[in-house]
Amino acid sequence: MKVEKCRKRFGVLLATAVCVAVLLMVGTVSAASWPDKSKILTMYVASGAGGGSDMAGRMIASVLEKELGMKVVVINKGGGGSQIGVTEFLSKSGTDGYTVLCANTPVTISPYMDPARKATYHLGKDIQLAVGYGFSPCAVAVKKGGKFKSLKDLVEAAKANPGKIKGTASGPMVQNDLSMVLLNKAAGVEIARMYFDQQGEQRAALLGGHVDAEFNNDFELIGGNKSGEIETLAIFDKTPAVTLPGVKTAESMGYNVHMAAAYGLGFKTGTPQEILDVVEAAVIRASKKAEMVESFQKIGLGVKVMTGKEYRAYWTGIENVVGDVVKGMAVKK
Amino acid sequence: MSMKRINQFFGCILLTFFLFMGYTARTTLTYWTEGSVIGPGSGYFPFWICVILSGLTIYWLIQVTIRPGEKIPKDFIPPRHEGLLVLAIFMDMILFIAIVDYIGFPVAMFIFLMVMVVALGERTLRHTIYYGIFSVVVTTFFVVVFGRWLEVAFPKTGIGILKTLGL
Amino acid sequence: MQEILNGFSVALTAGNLFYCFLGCLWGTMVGILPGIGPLAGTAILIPLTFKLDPTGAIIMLAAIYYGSQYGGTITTILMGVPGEASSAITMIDGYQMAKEGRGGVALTGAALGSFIGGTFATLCLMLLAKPLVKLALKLGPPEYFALMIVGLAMATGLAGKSMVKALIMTVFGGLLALIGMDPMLGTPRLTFGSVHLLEGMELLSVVMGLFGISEMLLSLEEKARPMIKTKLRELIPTRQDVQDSVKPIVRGTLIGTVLGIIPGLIPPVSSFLSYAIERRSSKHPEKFGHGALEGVVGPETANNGHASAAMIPLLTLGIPTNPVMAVILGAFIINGLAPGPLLFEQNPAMVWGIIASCYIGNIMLVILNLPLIPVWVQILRIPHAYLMTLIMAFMMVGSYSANNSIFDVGLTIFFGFLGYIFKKMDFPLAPVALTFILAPMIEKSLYRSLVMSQGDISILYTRPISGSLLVLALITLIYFSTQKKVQVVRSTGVDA
Repeated sequence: MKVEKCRKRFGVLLATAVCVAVLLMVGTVSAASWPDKSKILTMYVASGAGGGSDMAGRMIASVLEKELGMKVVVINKGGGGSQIGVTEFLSKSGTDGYTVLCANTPVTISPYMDPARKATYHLGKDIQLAVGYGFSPCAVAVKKGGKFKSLKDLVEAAKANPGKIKGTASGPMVQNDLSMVLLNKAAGVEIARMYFDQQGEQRAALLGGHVDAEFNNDFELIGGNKSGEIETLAIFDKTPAVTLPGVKTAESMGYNVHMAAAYGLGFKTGTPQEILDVVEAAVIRASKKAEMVESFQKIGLGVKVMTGKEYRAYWTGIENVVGDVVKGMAVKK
Repeated sequence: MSMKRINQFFGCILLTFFLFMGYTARTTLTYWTEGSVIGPGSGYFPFWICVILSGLTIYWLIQVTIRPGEKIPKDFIPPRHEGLLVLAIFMDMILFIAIVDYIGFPVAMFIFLMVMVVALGERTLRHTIYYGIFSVVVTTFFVVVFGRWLEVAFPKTGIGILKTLGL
Repeated sequence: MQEILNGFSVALTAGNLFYCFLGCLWGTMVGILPGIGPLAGTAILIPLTFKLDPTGAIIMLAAIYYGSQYGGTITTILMGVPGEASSAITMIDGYQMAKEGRGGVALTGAALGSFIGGTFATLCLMLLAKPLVKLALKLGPPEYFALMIVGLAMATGLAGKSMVKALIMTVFGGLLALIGMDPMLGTPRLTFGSVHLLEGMELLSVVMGLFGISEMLLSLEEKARPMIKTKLRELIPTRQDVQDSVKPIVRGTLIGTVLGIIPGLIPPVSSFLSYAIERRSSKHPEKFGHGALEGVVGPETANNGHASAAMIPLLTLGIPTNPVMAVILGAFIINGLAPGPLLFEQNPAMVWGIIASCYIGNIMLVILNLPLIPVWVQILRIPHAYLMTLIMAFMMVGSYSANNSIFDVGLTIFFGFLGYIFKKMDFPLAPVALTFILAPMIEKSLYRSLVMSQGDISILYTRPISGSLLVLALITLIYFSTQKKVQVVRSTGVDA
């Protein structure tokens, strides 16, 4: 991602200031020498080019480039529901802080929580989270002008016809699928889960009337909502999202379901805590500027900064959710 | 050796492979699922596809055994020199993937190009120099066009000397 | 009509013409270089779209997309490097034509075919967009399943001398496609513990190995290497060539346009099916695999028609039919716009401007490509040792670039070896690739159908559209498998 020259110069200045500040605060040489601006920060995005996770990764890469004053190169390594990318990140990364992983709950979690996937890593053991920066709640949408006017209609229909109401998700154990599982659990119904890898296929199935509801991230629903093709019924978060104006939370309708994609940055375990702190401080600082908020808003991604500790706690919570779902699946096999 | 023998041999290799895959699918994967996910499990299709493949291969094996043997086609076995050439190029490709992670893309690509072009070309000093220039130019082209412009992340070297040379 | 003219006036402003040209140029380059598909080519430019005016940005992204379809043909035909999956089938005959010194004719035919396919699809976008999309939306999972089965039935049209061999290869493609994660449960299947196999094998590696590397290895074995000479006069298609191309272009256009509208189908489906149909309907099927112009023109037309038709569902309903379209949808969203019927009302100048730019872009590409053909053909004059080395290096770098993965390069080499052996043993390769592409879609749509019907298999044949498609599949199977017995000449081992 190329940055204009003047912005780069500004970034260099800023980063120098950061370095000085860190030097004063911590006083150790190892932390002060990071970031070495002549080096390149390599960022692993564990998904292919062009998707939601990739967008989130590229956005934060340009933020870091400005804040740290060093070149950030994004490597896309998709496949296996992030398992391939994370495995490669861990094998290629050192603990010098020059390789960073763009993590994403719950997608990064699912592979290692499912024993069948034989993942060689586990977050608690192998990855240290530095900061969480982006947040995209899941939501449910139906065809506009169809039979369902509210989430309650959908749930009632699912209750009356068990297994006959169908919802879409982009794949097993990703956030959209989990939001459906959680809704099923909370409402005591059984909405059948149908997977489409491409977002276009999901939308086509919804508009063609082959499925009843589309479970997706808010940014995937913005376009259809705006053009009036679909109607978003509820958002699975604690607060309504700015991206989908007028849509209420599922919680306010009596279904206690929370699921979202939360994007953050992680380093390989063993990376000095000081480096993590620098990254954390850089992202927090950037999030207070209009520039980052505006550019994130353009792609429909909310800025929600969590400190390393908060992000870790959030992550553990999602791990438990995923773990429960995996266990539930194992029984049914 | 006749074409019949070669066919039979090849058929047996295929059959072994299909049987092995089918066996793996049947023993390690779920055949049928019940519960919220209805229907064929992850091992259902692999198993049946292997069964069909094995059946077809056996049919083919019988066919080639019953039919009168054909002659070995003229171009089946390459001339000695050309055969060795193909082998060398295979080795060259495998060498490339074996070393590229250690010595980095530019050097590995240069070696790959040099070996192949020398194997195919003429062996005089003058030509070798040309080949060297060619390999450098092509490597540079890849690094600049694919690496820089198109942002392909080529493997980097872990060796200190090469690192300081910026390769 | 007024709107269309307005659209042209938007597309013909200096700025938009420039973006369109830039997109065509970048697209052609991205297409020529193997491995870098239009997806990577457009994704790299996403940050740029933040800064451009939205109409210009989207015109440029669209131009990259269809421009890459033109560019891919050049490396495929002249060098035998199938840089994209959809080119693999073009390579079979295109590369043979180049070897015979008819590479210029092949390129001209492909360029003109692509132009007609692309323009026709754009015309459909203008006139019939809504009814076409409505029709495409009628296709639910069971219909997808049946449609794919029709495609699979056509695989028999790719058989060579022996039907058993073709069947083995067809099913073998299915087995290869099963490797990877189960689409329903996410359990790894037949991956033997390898993380790299979880997502399945990269399609590009499979076709590049099977068709590209194996062909190179075989041609290295040929002792006598006649120098390929191309005279300028031979670049111009003869009257016979034109006659041969008309029907393939018409059929290719229809196949591409119809299949392009359906979400989830990738362009290689169109090009492979077009090849199978051309081979079956040809009066001289024995020529296929040995430089039949129809085998180049048909698939290339279908390919480009497919690519251009993909814009239809995007603009009319905001449905991205493939990942590149999703990137373009992203460019709309970034600028606060949402494609769909409302956009036609609220911002007609922009929508029609983009549509008009598709015509202009296609014209630009033909103007850009045709005069350059004599230049490109000069590639063949590079001395043998250099050219072969260059081709091999291109394939290695190309397969690496698709996923930044050395494992994929290894896979390409492995499939090159496999293709080499199969060609020696006279097993046809095109069916493997066709099923490898179709099988995942068949499996997924089967699973989705079963979810729809709660496990009742009858859903596949009781619905009217899917039922009639299955009957069509049966007819196709009979029609294709009763083709005239032809004596397939075994010379290079390429018999599709």
